Amino acid sequence: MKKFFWLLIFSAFSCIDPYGFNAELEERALVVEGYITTIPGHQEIRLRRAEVFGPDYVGVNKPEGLAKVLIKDDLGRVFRLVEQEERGQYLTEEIFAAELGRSYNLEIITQDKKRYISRPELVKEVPKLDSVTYRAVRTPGTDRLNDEYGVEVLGHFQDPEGEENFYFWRTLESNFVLVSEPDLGHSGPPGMPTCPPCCERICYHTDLPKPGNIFTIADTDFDGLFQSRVIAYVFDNGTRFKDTYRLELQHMSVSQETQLYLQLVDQQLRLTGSVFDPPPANIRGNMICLDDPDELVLGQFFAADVEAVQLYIQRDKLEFYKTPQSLILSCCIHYLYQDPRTQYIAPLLPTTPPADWNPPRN
Amino acid sequence: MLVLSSLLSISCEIEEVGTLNLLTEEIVNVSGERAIVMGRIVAFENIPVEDHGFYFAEEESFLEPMVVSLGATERPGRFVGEVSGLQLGRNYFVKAFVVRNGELIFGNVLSFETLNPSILRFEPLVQFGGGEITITGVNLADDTRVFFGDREAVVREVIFGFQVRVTVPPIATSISEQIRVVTSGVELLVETPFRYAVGKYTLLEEDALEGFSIIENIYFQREDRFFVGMGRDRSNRTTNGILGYENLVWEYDFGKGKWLETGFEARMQRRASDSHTGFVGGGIYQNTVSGPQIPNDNYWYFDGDDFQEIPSPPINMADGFGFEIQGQFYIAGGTLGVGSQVYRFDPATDSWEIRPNLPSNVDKGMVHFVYNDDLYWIDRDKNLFQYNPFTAQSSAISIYPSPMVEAVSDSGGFALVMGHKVFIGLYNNAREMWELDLETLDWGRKQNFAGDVRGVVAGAYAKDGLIYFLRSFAINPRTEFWEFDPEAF
Repeated sequence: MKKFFWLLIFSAFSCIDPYGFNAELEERALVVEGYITTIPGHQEIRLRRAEVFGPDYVGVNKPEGLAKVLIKDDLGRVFRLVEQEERGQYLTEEIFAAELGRSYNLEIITQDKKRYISRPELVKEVPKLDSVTYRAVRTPGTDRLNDEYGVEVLGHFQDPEGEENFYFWRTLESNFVLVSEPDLGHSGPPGMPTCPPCCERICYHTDLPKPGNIFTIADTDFDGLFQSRVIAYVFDNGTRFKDTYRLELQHMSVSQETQLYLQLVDQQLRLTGSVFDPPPANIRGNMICLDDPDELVLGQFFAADVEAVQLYIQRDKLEFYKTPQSLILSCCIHYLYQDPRTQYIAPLLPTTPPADWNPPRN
Repeated sequence: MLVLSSLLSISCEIEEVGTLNLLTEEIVNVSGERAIVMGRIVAFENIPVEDHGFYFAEEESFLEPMVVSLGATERPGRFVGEVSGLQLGRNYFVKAFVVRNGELIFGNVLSFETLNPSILRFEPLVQFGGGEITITGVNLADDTRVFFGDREAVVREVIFGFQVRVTVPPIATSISEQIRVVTSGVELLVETPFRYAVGKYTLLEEDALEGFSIIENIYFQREDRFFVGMGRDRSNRTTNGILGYENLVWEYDFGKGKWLETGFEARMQRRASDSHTGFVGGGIYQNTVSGPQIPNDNYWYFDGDDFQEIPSPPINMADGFGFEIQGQFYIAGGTLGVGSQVYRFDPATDSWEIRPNLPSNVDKGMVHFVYNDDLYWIDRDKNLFQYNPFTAQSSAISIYPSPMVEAVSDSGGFALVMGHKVFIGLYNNAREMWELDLETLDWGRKQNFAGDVRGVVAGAYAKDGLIYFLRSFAINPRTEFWEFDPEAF
C-alpha cells in the first residue's frame, strides 16, 4: 500500500510538464498601417516591423524604411508614395484622393525585395450624416467608489435600404480649451517659471480622444432604418470638458472585410481578462506576401469614402461632468512643462484658438 | 439493425481523412499584362500535394492554358499566383489546381479582363537633347519603346508599369516632336507635342556702355527704342570725386549698332522705380562714394520725345517695383519704410493716390511683370504671385523651377512678356532661362546663357520676336549687349 502511495505521488509529479508558450508571431512580421480616403490630401501609409514581446523582447517596433510603396487602382493607374524624413512614413501627393466606385490595392516592395499586395478594397459612397449630437454619460468603472464620466457622440443618419453598408467612425486628434487656475497655485516644481495670478488661464491644446475604442457596425440588423447610434465616446479625465472640446471625427464607409477586421480588433481591445472574454488572437489582415503567402503580415489596408465631422462639445450643455474637475495650478501655456533634468524642452501651449475655431454661440 | 447501420455510416464519414476543397478565391490585381490571383486549399489537416497553382486561358474550356505552377505543398490555406505575358484588353479565365496522387483537381473558374495601356502625361514638357523626360501612363509593359517622331529614344527604366524614363534624342530638324509609345505591340500617340529646349545667344557688343559696368539702373522700351541709364558704375568711377554717371541715359541706335548717350540728365538718381515703359523715378541720391544716401523724389515720364517731370509721390521709395497698368503708373514696396505699400499715379489727374498694400514685401530685386492688367512677381522663395491691383486679390500660382541661392542668385534677372508667354531668367550669377505659358502655367526650359555667368542683367527688351538684354560684369568691368532668339537652334 505504501509503495502504491509513492507510485501515485511520482506519477502525479511526472504529469507536470513545462508549457512551451508560442506567441505565434513570426519574428519581425511586417505591419502595415494606413488607409486612403476620398478627401484630397497627403494620405499616409506606415510600415513597421513587429518585434517579439515576452522573454525574447528585443526592443520596440522598428520602422521599415526604403520600401517602394504603390497604390494601384482597377484602371491600372499607379500612385507612388514617397518616404518622408520620418522613417517608415510614406505619403501620397497632396492632390491624391480615392474615387468612389474604384477599387485599390496597396503594393509594397521592401528593401529585401519581398513583394506584398493587399486584396482589393472597393470605395463605396457613405450615407451622409443628418446630424451629430452628444450627451453626457456616467458608467460604473473599475473604481467602485467613483463612476466613470464621459461624452457619447451620436450620429443620426438614414441607412439606405437594400444595400449592404459597413460603417466605421474614427476619432482624430482634436482641439480643446485648456483652463488652468494659476492663482490657486503656490509653488511649482523647481525651475518652473513663477506664475503671477494674472497669467494665462485659457489655452488651446490638442488631444487624441481616449479611449481608442473602435466604433464599427454592419447594417445587417438595421438595413433601411433611420439610425441614432453612438459613434464615438470621449472619456472625461477632468481636463477635457472644463470649457469646449472640438472633436474631429471621420464618418466612413468601408468594405465588409475591413469592417470584420476592425470588429475583431475592437473585441481584442475590449478584453478585460474575464472568463467571458474571447481568446486573444493574431488577426490576419488583407496583406499578402507574394513570395510566401503563409507569411504573417499584420495590418489592414483599406479605402474609404469619408465625411469629415467637427463637433463642439460645450461644458454648459452637458448634463453632468466629472467633479471635481482637475486643477491645473500653473499658467496654461506651461501645461506640458517637464523638469529640465529630463532634457525635454516642452513647447508652450498657444493662447489663441485655431484659425477655424468657431463654436456655436448659444 | 437500423440503428447499427446508421452508426456505421456516420462513423464512416467521420473517419474519412484526406479530403480537400479547392477554391479559386479572388482576383487580387489585374493590369495590362499581369494578374495576381488567390486560391485556397480547404482541409482539416496537412495534405501533401505534388503541385498546385493556377490555369489561365482565354477560353473557358482551357484548351491552351498558361500554367502557373507553385510546386509541392502540404499545408492547407491560401496561395497566390502571378501571371505575366497576358494580352492587353482581353478576357481571361482562371482556375486553381492541385495535383494529388497523380490526379489533377480543379477549383471554380473566375474571369477577368486585362486592361489597355494609355498615356496620361509627360514631364518636363520641354527638355534638352540628351536630357531625360518621364512619361506617366497606365499598364505600360516592360517592353515599352518610345519614339520622338521617327527616332527611337533610349528607355532607361520602366517603373512599375506606370512610368517610363526616357533619354531625349538630340534635336534634328524641328524644335517640336510627337512622342509615340509602343507597349505590348500597341502604339499610343501622346497628344501634347514634346518641345526641345532651344534658343541662341549672340553677343552684339562686348562693351556697350563705354566701359561702365552699370548696376542699380533703370531701363525701358518705347515701341522699338531701347533705353538704359540712371544707374551706378559698379566700380564707383567718379569725375573729380563726384559720382556723375547716375545722370546718364543711353539709347540704342540700331543703324549704327551702338548705344549712344541721350541729352537727358537725371538728378543723381539710382535704385529708382521703373515701369520699363517710360515711367521712372524715386530711388536715392548720393553724390560722393562715401556721401549720405538721400531719398530722391524726382519722377519722370518719357513720352517718346522728351522726359517730362511728373509730381512726386507722398512717400520716398527706393528699390521699389514700378509697373504700368491701363496707362497708370504704380510704385510698390522697396527697401525704405513699409515694403508692401502701393501708390498709383494717374496722368489724367496728374496726382498720386494710395492703394491697398501688397500681400507681402517686395523690392526691385524680384522679377516682376504685367500681363492682362495683373501684376505678377516671383519672391525669393520662388513663388510666382498674381495680383489684381483693382480688387487687391492675390494668389500664388506657380513656382519658378530653377534653384535660387540666397543672396547669390535670388535677385535680379528679368521678365519679358511676348504674347501669352513670358520669358524669365538670367538672375544674378545664374544662366538659366525659362519660358512660362501664362494660359497653361507650363514652364519650358530655354538654352542656358552662353556668356559669363557672374553678371547682372541691366536691361531687357523685345523686338520682332527677339530678346535683347544688357548684362554687366564685375570681373573685367563692362556691360555686354546680347541678342537672344528663343526659337533658334
